[in-house]
Amino acid sequence: MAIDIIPKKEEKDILGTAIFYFGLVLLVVLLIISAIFYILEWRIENQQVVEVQGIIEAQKTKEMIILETKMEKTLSKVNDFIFVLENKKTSKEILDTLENLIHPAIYLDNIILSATKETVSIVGTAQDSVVFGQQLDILNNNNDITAVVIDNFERNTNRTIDFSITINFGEVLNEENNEQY
Amino acid sequence: MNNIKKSIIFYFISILVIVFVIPPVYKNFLVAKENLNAEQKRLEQQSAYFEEMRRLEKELEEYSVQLTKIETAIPENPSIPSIIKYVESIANNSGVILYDIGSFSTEKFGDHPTLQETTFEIEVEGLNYAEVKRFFDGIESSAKVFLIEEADIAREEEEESGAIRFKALATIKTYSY
Repeated sequence: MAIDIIPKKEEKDILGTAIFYFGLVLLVVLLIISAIFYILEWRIENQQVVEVQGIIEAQKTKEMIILETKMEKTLSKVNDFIFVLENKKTSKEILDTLENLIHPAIYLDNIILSATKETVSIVGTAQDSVVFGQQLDILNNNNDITAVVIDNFERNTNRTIDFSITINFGEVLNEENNEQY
Repeated sequence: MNNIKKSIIFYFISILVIVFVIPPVYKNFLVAKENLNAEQKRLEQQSAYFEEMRRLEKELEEYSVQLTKIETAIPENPSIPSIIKYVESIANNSGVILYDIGSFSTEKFGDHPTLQETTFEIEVEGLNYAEVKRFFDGIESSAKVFLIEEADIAREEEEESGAIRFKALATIKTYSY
C-alpha cells in the first residue's frame, strides 16, 4: 500500500467564495448608494435650500419693501382714477345739448338735472301750443335723447302753455367728458 | 458551505436594502431637489420682480406730471375747509355768489377700499344762467375731481325790484384717500 508522502491539497470552494464576496460587495455598494442619496438630500435641504431662502430674504430689503409699497399705491391710484373717469357723468354735456334744443319762444324757469339718472326736467312756459308742439318735435327727433315725458301741461288764458317735461339723455353724459385730464 | 450561508445573509440584507432603504431615501432626495428648484425659481421670479419695479420706478419718473395731476385730482385726506375754499375760489372766478355749502358726508367707495367718496351740497346765485353754467363748468373741469350729481337751476324774480336771479342747488361728489 502506497503511503501519500505529499498530502493532498485541500480543495477550495471557489464558487462559494466568489458568491460570498460578490454578496458582500453588493451589500456595501448598496449601503454606499443609500448613504450618498441621504447625504445629498441632507445637503440640499439644510444647505442649498437654506442658502437660496437666505438670498430671497436678503433681497427683501427695507428699500425694496418701500419701493414695492410705493408702486402698489401708485398702481392703485391710477386704477382708481381710471375708474372714476370712466364712470364720470357731468352736467356740461347735458346743459350744452339742452341749450341747443330749446325753442327760442320758450322760457325756462327751472332746470333739474340728475347726472346719475341721466335725466333733466325742465319747467317753463311756451308762447303757444304750436311752439310747445315744435319743442316736443325737436326733442323727440334728437338722437341723443332716449325718452321725453310730459309731466305737466297747462294752458293759460293768454294762450301760453306752462309745462314740465322730463328728458332722458341716455349715454350722452358719459361721452367726451374725460378730455380735461 | 459556510460561505454559502454567509452569502445568503448578505443577499437577503441587500434585498432588504433595495426594497426598504433605497426607494424612500431616493424619493426624499428627489423631493429635496424639487424644493431646491422651486426655491431657485422663486429667487429668479423675485429678482425679476424687483428688477421690473426698479425699471417701472424709473419709467414713472417720466410721467411725474401726470401722476401729480392724479394726486391732485384725488388727494389724500383733504380737509373740509380746503374743499370749501376750493369751491369758493371757483365761485369767485365764475361770478356767482356761494350762499351755502354743507351736508358733508364721506363713505367708502364701492369695491375700491382705499377710495372715499365725499358728497356735499351747495347753493349759489348768479345774475344770469351763463354765470351758473360757468360755475358748473369750473367745478367739473377743476384739477380736483368734482362731479355734479344733482342740480336744480331756478330763475327767480325779486318782487320789489323785479330783478332776475338764477339760483342753483347742487349735490356734488368728490373723491379722496
